[in-house]
Amino acid sequence: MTDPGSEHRPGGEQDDGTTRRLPTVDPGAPLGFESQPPPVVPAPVGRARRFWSARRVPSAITALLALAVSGSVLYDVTAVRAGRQGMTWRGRLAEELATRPLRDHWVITGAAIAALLGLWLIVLALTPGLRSLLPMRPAAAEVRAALDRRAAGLLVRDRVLQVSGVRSVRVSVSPRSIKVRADAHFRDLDDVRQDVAATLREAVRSLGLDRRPVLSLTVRRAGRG
Amino acid sequence: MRTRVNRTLLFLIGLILLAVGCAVLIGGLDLPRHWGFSLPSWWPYRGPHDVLLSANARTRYRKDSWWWPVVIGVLAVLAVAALFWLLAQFRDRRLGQVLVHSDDDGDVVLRGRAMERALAADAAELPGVLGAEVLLTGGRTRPRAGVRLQLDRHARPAGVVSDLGGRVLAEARASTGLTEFPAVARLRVERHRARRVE
Repeated sequence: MTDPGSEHRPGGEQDDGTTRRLPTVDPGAPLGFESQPPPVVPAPVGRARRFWSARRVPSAITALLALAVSGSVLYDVTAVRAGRQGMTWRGRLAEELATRPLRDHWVITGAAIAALLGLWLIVLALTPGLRSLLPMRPAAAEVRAALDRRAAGLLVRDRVLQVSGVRSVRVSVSPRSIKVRADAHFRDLDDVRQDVAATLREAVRSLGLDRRPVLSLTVRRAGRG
Repeated sequence: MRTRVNRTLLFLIGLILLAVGCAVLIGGLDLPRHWGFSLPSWWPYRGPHDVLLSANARTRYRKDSWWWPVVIGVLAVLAVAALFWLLAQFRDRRLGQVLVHSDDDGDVVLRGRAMERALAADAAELPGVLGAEVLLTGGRTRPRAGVRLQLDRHARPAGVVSDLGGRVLAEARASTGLTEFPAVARLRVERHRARRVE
């Protein structure tokens, strides 16, 4: 069910010795609990594509700035062509551009900002974004689905909280992993841990995520130290 | 489509900013001398005493008759393109109607809003789902559904998605006669307090 070699990560263990690396959920394993009536459409096999953001906000801001710059220069150039007085900022800008040497602090700072901004735009253009959406395994034909990251955390938390002996749970979900820290206030710690691990595996499987998350679980005695 | 346009434009603008910024930095910090490399002959800036845009370079073509029309034309094209790009970010092409049936007597269409409401009502009935919103996009013969589902705290998302496809969307496909009706679903859970159910 697991491939232990590839999953090992140094530094993932807690020093109190209560953290265990869990076998990760195998999406290929037969499930059989998913829906009450069998789906009409046979579930297709295959991997889910990631969700790609449309990058609307950066595009809107960039477009707005481009519009402001080109629009105001255009306005001023045509005004001068039409025989009116040019605005002072353009004359000032032309003068600055023609007199400030490249080693000037303002020029260096501006160039550095421009280069970083450009790099950032390139990163935005090439990365998918939408890290808060966890792609789900294709469970029905023609449906692409994603689970909100916070929703995954809340659902897992609620399920783990039902394990007897568990008083409080904290869950953190990242695109690749789910970390659970549970505080137990009665029962043997190892028993609680076993139950929590089983519940966690089942809960994560029911999330139906396309990429099986790496699970890590810490169970501690509540109120200790 | 919009995604592709946005990302292409952002990439190109980013590339220009990066190139200009680096060119100025290399000249301004005098990197060729410090790091011992030489710049190709077409490089715009020669050294730290260069300026960004000299008066000579700025006014070089001013005497030519084509100069001002070209400047104004390029600026106008840029401004209009930027305006369209900006407006495209706020436009959601919501589908007005869906073509259900078509023959010699005419077309039978379903109002997009009505279909959205019907789908949302069906989806909200699924086990584990508290509420649903549906938005139709695409063409009237090839609609696409964007579905937002609000799950309850006991929901099994995997089951909800297969229900959505197997029941709600399959039924919609059957009753409208659409051969394909792809959907994108986003599943959420409202933030709530941790509570033990004994």
